[in-house]
Amino acid sequence: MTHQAQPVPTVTPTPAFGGAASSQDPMRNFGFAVAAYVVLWCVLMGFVMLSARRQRRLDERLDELERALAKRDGGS
Amino acid sequence: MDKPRSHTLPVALAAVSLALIAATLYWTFFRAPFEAVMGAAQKIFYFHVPAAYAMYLSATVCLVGSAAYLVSPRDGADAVARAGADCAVAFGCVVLTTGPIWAKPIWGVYWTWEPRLLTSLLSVLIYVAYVVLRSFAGDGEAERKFAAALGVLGAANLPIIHLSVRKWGGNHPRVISSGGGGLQHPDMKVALGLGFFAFTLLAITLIAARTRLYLASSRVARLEEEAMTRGLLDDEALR
Repeated sequence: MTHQAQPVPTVTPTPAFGGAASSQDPMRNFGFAVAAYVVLWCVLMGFVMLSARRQRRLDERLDELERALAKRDGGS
Repeated sequence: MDKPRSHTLPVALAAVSLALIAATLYWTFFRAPFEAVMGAAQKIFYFHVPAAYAMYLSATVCLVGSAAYLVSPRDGADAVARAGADCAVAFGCVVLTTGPIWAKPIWGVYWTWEPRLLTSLLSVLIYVAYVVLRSFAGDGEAERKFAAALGVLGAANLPIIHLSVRKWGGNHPRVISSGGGGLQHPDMKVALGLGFFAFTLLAITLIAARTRLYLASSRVARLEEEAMTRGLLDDEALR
């Protein structure tokens, strides 16, 4: 029984991204570009806002605890 | 005991990141020409590729933090590893959503089970697992070490993503890597370069911010323990 080698997958080289003029409408697929940017900014801004909110709460809690401990140290 | 909490550097990093992102947006939409074959959908490339690179960068930070934690368990290393994993998930989500949005008009489908997409999805799922583990499994030594091991092992997938198209073929374009056609117009190159700078700085900013957050969280935990020991947590105002 012979084992045949797997064929090496061929990859069609990606042609260069060219900015040449085309007979097609350049604004085609613009809705997809807008959708992608909306998603990008929603994900990143959501991440930033959640981080900022959590940081603010931690800073407040830290202040609270440090004040209480300092007060106890000062009073003892 | 009071640690001054300076906001100058994070704010400065954020401001420069935003400026670079604005510059990238300007160059992408007002200077780089529309691509001849793909039209406006090709503009997604100028953020999709830098976001993928930012995901690799964040995952590498997670790897370094995790390895450092396994060698010498410290809050700092753990915070860096967690921050890297969080950002890897965020940028990974950007890649896995902008990619299919590009693919729909170009390939006709949002998703195919081809090597690059599959290995990218696997990587993001690994870091989602890391984040879920750290968020819900408690913050003990064992959990931290398990997560650190996951952070180290998960990084093994990164070169696989990068080499997947070369090794296994597939439809995913290779534009700027070897075998790709490249960018013909100079403004396209500038837009992509700006995108890389912007996302590098954005990744650094977000990783720094999340690291600071986790360090603060560790400090809160320590102070709460100290407060509990001293009976301060019996005070209503502190609970």
